[in-house]
Amino acid sequence: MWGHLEAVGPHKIFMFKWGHVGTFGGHGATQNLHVGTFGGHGDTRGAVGTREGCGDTQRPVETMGRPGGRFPAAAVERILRDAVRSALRERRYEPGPCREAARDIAEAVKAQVKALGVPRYKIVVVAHVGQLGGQSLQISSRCLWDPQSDTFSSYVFKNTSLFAVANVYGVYFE
Amino acid sequence: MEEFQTGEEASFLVDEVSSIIKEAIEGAIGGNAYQHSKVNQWTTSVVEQTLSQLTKLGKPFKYIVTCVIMQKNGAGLHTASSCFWDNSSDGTCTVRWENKTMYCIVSAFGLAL
Repeated sequence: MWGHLEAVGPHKIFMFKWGHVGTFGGHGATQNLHVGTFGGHGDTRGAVGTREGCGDTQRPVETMGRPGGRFPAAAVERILRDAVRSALRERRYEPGPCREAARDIAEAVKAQVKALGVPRYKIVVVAHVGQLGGQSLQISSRCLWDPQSDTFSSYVFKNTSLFAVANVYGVYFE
Repeated sequence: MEEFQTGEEASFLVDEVSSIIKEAIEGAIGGNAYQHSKVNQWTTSVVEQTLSQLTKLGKPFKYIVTCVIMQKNGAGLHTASSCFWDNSSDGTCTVRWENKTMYCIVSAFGLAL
């Protein structure tokens, strides 16, 4: 599950290998969007951003000695889903409103996750909203962080004319 | 030890990161035209190359790197980000790259430890 081990400065950090990939439309066979390929062992999950149980189960989660709680991945996921759905559910793709929607989703999610008041976590929200036009698209990301404390949630939305991918990264401030 | 990591050395320098990302894109995609079967390899290569060069800077940062590759056919795409972090130390850099057949948009976020 874990990639290489890297040491940065005085902190030991795991290179956490994950990609999450959304393939939209184009080229017939790839109509399905497969999202959530974690790790390098072909561990493919259909669910998006389900972090619970996704890590190495042999590895105990050590929160001792680390002030502040864990990042509430489930609550964050709900926030993501609600924000994306309410912004886009009835919407047809139009450039102006969709640019606004991407901005609104990013802002709203950040504000609501911040309001959860999880101490010592920095939050990065990235939202993509695009037109479904038969094109191919791939979104992937990778992080250099500590998988014991840092995590992400992801949500993918699609209707007849547009798609959206929204990610929240919760990064523990050492 | 603190005094060795003041100022420029320990901060997120947008220009430095921007050139790392550009090199990663050029190295992975270079002069290629869009090829569906290659996209996976390209996005992987761009994020890995970017991340490994960022690691080599040896700064006390955690990094998030995202890469979007989209085939050009006139369809629109909007990306927005919003962060809750320390403005004085943390930073982000986005590079938009395109050729005749595709867009490649890469963002790196650096969060100080």
